[in-house]
Amino acid sequence: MRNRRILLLCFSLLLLQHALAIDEDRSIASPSQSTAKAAYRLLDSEKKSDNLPDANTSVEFGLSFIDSPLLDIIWCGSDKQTILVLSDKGTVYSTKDLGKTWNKLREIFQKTGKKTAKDEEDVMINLLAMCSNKKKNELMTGR
Amino acid sequence: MIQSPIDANLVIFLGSEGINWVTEDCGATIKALNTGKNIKEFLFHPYERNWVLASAYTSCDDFTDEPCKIYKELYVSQDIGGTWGFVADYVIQFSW
Repeated sequence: MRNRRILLLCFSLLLLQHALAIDEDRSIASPSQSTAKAAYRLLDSEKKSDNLPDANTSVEFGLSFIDSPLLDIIWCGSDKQTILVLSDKGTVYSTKDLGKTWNKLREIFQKTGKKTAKDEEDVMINLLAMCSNKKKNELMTGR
Repeated sequence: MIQSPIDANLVIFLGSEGINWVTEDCGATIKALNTGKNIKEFLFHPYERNWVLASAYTSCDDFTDEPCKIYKELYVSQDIGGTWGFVADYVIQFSW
C-alpha cells in the first residue's frame, strides 16, 4: 500500500513536471509566433501602401488613338504627370492628366518650324529618345 | 525627343531641314531653333543645364569648290541650341 502511494506520488510529480515543461515551451514559443504574425501584418500593410490591386478590384482604363504607330514616350516634369508621345508620322501628342485627354501638337511644331526655316519648307520631327524614369507609371503600348 | 537629365521639364525635339524645337515646360510652349544642320545625335551635359553637344553629317551642299566628303561634325552649344560652336570634324563618337 505504501509502495502504491509512493508510486502514485512519483507519477503525479512526473505529470506536474511535464505540464510545467509544456507551459515553459508555450512561454518561449508565444513571442516568436506573435513576431511572425506581426511580420505578416507588416507585409500586408506594405502591400496596401503600394496600392497593389486586389483580385476583386477593377482597373480604370481608357482607349486613345494616334495617327500612326507609337515611336516614343517621355514622362515629363518633376511629378511625371505630363506625357509626351511621338508617332511614326512625326506628330507629338501631350497629356497632362496621365492620358485621359490628349493635345495634338503637330500644328504648333509646323507653324513655329516654318517660321524659323529660311525658305519656309515643311519640317517634321525625326527622333525621340526614351525617358529614363518609368518607375512610377506604366503605360502599355501596341500597334 | 530628348529629355534633359537634370531638368525634367526640358525636352529637345530633333527635326528635319536643320529645324529643331525646344520646350522648357513639357510642351506648354515650344520654340523652334534653326541650326542649319540635320542633327543626328544630341547629348545634354550631365550637370550644366544649358550645355549640349550635337553631331551632324556633312552634305554635298557644303562643298561647292571641292569634291563632296561625308563625315560627322561635332558642335557645342551653351544656350540649349540657340547658338552653336564648331568643335571637330571626322568625329566617330563623343561624350561629355
